[in-house]
Amino acid sequence: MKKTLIISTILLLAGISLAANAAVNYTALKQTITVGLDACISLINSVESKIVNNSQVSQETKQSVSQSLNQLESALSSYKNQVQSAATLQDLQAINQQIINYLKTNSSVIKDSIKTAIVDMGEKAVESAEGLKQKAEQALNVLKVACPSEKTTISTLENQLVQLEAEINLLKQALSSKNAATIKQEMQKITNLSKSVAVNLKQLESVCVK
Amino acid sequence: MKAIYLVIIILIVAAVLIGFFVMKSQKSVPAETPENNGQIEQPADVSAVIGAIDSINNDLDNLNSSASSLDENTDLSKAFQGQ
Repeated sequence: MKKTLIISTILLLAGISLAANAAVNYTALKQTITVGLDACISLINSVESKIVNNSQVSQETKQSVSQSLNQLESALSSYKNQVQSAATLQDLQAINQQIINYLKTNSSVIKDSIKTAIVDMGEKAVESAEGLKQKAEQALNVLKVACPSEKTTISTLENQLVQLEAEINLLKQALSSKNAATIKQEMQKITNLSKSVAVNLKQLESVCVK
Repeated sequence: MKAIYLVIIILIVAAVLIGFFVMKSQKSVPAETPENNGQIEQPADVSAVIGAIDSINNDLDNLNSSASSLDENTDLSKAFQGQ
């Protein structure tokens, strides 16, 4: 009789412990999934905001990116609702697996949206850089006549314009292959070079044009 | 004698007239500038062109900053796992 009582007590305590443990796991998993989904939604919104609020991105790209990212966000919000209404630990584990699979399947959506926006910006950068090169050549042609003594600066500018053309061609190649990393790299080089061209032109202008 | 004076006067008048037309024709020649499709003809236009270049540089700067702020390797799976 005594032994039966002891065994029953042990089993009861074990049962309570297991139930408590399951409750802790349920709460912890629910919290983890919710935090993860919030992080994803926040990231999607941040990317969308950067693209949609950028005046340099075309309307067509904005609409396309917005549509893709909103679909992604909508799906994740739906999973969030499912997590909130999940009754058991098993339900949560099943939803968690669905989310992991969904994110794996749709991993390219956000990357492609970002790439589309970067390509769009790169194309605009080519137009701007070509316009700048043309204007710089016009100014340099006049300054060559007005400032024949400034041979060093004129030579530097000529070399910079040759280099600018080369960088524009590299940017065009990167745009053809949609290589986002190289597009950004070339845009940075072109921006730096264009600023330097402007500085040198201003220097010539200050010396020779009154 | 009168004929000699007349010839001298005619020569002087002719020289003055030739000088006048030569000066006039030199003034009508544009300032020495290179061939540039007529887009910039005077050094003074350089300031306007440099102003336009500054404006294009601002556009390039904005485009570059915007592109740099986007990470093409953004991974939602990692964000979900808290990485």
